[in-house]
Amino acid sequence: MRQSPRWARVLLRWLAPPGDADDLLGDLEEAYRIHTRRHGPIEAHVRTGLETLDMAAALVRTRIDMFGSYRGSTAMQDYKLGFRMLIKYPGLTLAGGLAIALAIGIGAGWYDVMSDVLRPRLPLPGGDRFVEVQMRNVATSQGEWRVLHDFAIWRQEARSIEELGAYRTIERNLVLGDAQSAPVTVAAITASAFRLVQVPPLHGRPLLDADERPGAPPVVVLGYDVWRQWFGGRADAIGDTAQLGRTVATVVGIMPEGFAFPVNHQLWTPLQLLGSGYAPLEGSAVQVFGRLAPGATRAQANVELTALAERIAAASPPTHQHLRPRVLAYGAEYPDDESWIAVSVTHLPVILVLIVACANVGTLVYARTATRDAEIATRYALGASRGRIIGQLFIEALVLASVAAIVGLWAAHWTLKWGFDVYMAGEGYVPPFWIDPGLKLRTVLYAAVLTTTGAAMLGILPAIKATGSNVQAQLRNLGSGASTLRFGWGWTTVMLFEVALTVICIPVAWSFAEEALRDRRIRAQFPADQYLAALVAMDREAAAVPGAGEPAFRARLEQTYRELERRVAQEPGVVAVTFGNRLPGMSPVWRRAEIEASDGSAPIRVRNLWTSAVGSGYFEAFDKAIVAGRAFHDGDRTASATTVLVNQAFARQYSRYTNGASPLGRRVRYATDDPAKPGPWLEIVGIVEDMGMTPTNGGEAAYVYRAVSPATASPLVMGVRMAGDPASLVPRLRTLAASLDPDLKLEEVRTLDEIAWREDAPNMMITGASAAVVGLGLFMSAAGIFSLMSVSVARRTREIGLRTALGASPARLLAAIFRRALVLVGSGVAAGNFVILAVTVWTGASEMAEALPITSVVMLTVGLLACVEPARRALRIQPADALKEA
Amino acid sequence: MSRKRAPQSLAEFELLVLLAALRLGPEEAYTVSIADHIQQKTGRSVRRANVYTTLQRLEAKRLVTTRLGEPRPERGGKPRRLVTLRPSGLTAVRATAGAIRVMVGELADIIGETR
Repeated sequence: MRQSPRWARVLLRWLAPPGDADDLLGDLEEAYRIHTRRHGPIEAHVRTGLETLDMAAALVRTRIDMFGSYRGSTAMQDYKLGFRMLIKYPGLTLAGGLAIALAIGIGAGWYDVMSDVLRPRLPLPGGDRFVEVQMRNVATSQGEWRVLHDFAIWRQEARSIEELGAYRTIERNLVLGDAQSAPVTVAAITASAFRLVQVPPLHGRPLLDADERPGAPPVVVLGYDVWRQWFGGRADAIGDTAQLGRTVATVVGIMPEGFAFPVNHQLWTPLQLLGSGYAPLEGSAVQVFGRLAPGATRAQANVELTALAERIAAASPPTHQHLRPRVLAYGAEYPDDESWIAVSVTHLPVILVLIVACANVGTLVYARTATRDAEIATRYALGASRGRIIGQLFIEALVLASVAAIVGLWAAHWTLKWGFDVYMAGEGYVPPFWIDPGLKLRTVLYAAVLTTTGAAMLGILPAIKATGSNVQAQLRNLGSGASTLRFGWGWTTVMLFEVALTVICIPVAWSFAEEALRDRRIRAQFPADQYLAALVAMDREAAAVPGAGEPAFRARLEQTYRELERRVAQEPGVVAVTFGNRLPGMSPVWRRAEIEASDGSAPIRVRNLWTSAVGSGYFEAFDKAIVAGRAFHDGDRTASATTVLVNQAFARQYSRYTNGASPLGRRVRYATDDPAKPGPWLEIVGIVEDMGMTPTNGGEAAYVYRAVSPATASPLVMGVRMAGDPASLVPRLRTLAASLDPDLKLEEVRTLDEIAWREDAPNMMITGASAAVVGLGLFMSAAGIFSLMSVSVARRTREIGLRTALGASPARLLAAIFRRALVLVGSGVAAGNFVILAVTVWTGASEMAEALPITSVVMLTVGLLACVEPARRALRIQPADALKEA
Repeated sequence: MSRKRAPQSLAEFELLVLLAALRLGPEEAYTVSIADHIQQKTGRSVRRANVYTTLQRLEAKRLVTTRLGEPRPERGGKPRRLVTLRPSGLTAVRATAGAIRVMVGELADIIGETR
């Protein structure tokens, strides 16, 4: 027997209202048979199909109509009321909404980042079964990566892990003909990786087992970006050659966009292992990965590898007695038995922030509830249950929290994206392929849970209090306008804490802002826009000459760098070329030290002495003159040299400690890990002008400079001063380096301007964030005090009216009413000031103490402003109001 | 003193559906037969979905009641939802049809209707 189309039956069954499905399907069947009889089976199918779509549309319309009628339902009315409350109480909406948005934004952002970092989800087929095998030395708690010996045994014998593979990361120059070179991140990896990930190449083939055999011709698989950038995205790039350092490899495959397994790699070459195998701890460091075999668990894999490890340890106790393997989820920071750490790190800060925000906003919600106790009592009187009223107040809180959550999530999403693009990517950090900045669906769901939890804290607690035993009193008070709810000690303590915290935050935020602005001002005086900084390194592995050792490598580095410097100096627009281990404005290196006193007394101990190693022409390149003593000469660059220069800030500070003495001719030595063996004494032979790019201590950072050669500077940073835009030299610099030596890498090339901006960016961000926190704190405090006073005035309508009738002056009236607010603000300010003073005494930082009067005045002013409206309301209460109540 | 409620007015298609249900009777009036009957009598194409939603609306207005009949083999073993007019439905049909008859009667000369 022919039947109507199956899809039509499924669709109607799915859309039909409960109870109607059978007769609708019967109609369908009957109509289909009528059509078949009248028009034949083919046309019957078409007609029935069209009728089904028509019926489906009608059913959808019916559902929409049903939803429309649901708009009149109780829950929908509560939601509508919730939105009306947002408009009716704009202060609470703004202050509370911002606080919750901040809490949920921070919470969701934190969860998002921590989930990616601690328990990542790999965007690869079956990625949840990928594992990595780590070896740990239980005696030292350090990782041991020289595991090629163990890897061979695991690969052969482990049954719980399949496609076991290994890789090591190499930073190598990619050179194409005469074009410029650039360092790329290469994975020397076993071919099993490509079977594991099951991602087919875009063109060509992946690595094969045959490529791993010693003596196999060098091949390379290109990442998408490298292919587009260096090979123009040509499909016929397969078969071309790519020069990696000094090795020329044939391109055999191109991986699709976004592929960066195992972490953030751009190219893949075979990991060629010795056919003869490796002795324990022999060979290079590698990382081991694989996939759990079907049915196997990580626990089983751990047991199996532990058993193998015990066997290896029995055969080779000296190397393996303390080594224990562990199988972790791929990319995870903690093994399964320590997953509680990841869970705690992920959730505890979020919950803490949410509780703080909800405690603050809770005071406002409670105050709003207190002003509505007449409404609540009326609902009670009309037969609403306590649960119904609590539910209504919960939905109102849920509406507020949901709107705030949307704002918070939006802000968190863009902050994450912006922070990542501007800061991390700018720093040259390429994240693992599983990290995708910006919120994911799971984060949004997490935020939904946070929102509901927050709403429960905000809505249910005040509602329980408001619908408690005093409802009878509220009913008695109906019509009087007076409130029976009062702020208990719990809420008052929360507000006191809030005021104190705000008081503490004001000087902190102020000092952040002052410091950030001062840093910008100091840096602005330095012509950073004229300089280019390039981190230069020699590929140690590729450049090493077997048997020649370290001196030969250093000699080659020195020679190559000198030649590069000579060629760069000949480029048009280049004013000066120099080098050091850092340029002005770069992250500092500081050390503990002691300096000889001028009068032979005990040495002066210094906690933070800034140090820098400088090459020839360093101070000249930055236009800094030697103001006393002499400059460095070539003799100062030898390994045995014991001479240093200091800056003027050093000299000024030394002079202060020694009653005007000069540090010239005095000696300085650095502390080492062993207090009994400090470093050698170094003689101060000259004083140089301050650089002005290090704003720490208001530009008073005391510097010690020592002279180095290119081979001994670590890291080696080239500084180029240009007459024009320094960024224009970048491509040429790369070309010069590539043509000079394929093993010479320019790892980071940036203008000093950019470096300075990146140094300042965190300060500016902290300043902005702390200003926002203080602003929000002040607003929340004001809103809290306003709420407290509003409730107080509402509760004491009768008393105020009677006092007015008895001739109380407005001043006395206000003093009586607002005593509590003044006590609250005063106590909060006192508590905050006490903490500030304690910190001042402890750290010796007097700036915070100097801010005490300003802080107190600001907080008291905010407190008084918050009292203005309730005061106005109190003064407008007439004696007749009191009589009405009576 | 209680006021008698005025009969509900019907849209044209509602009237046709109720008339078809009356004509077919409580044992034979259901969506497919009503659509078929209107199509036969008026010659216009009638969509089953329209009959279904109209019947739902009439039921919501309390002009008809529906009940499930016996499962039938020609419907794949599924029952029919049979329609019965309530007295209020009959009243509404009478009122609407009467109003049309009166209006049409007044214009018989123009539109050529005899009754």
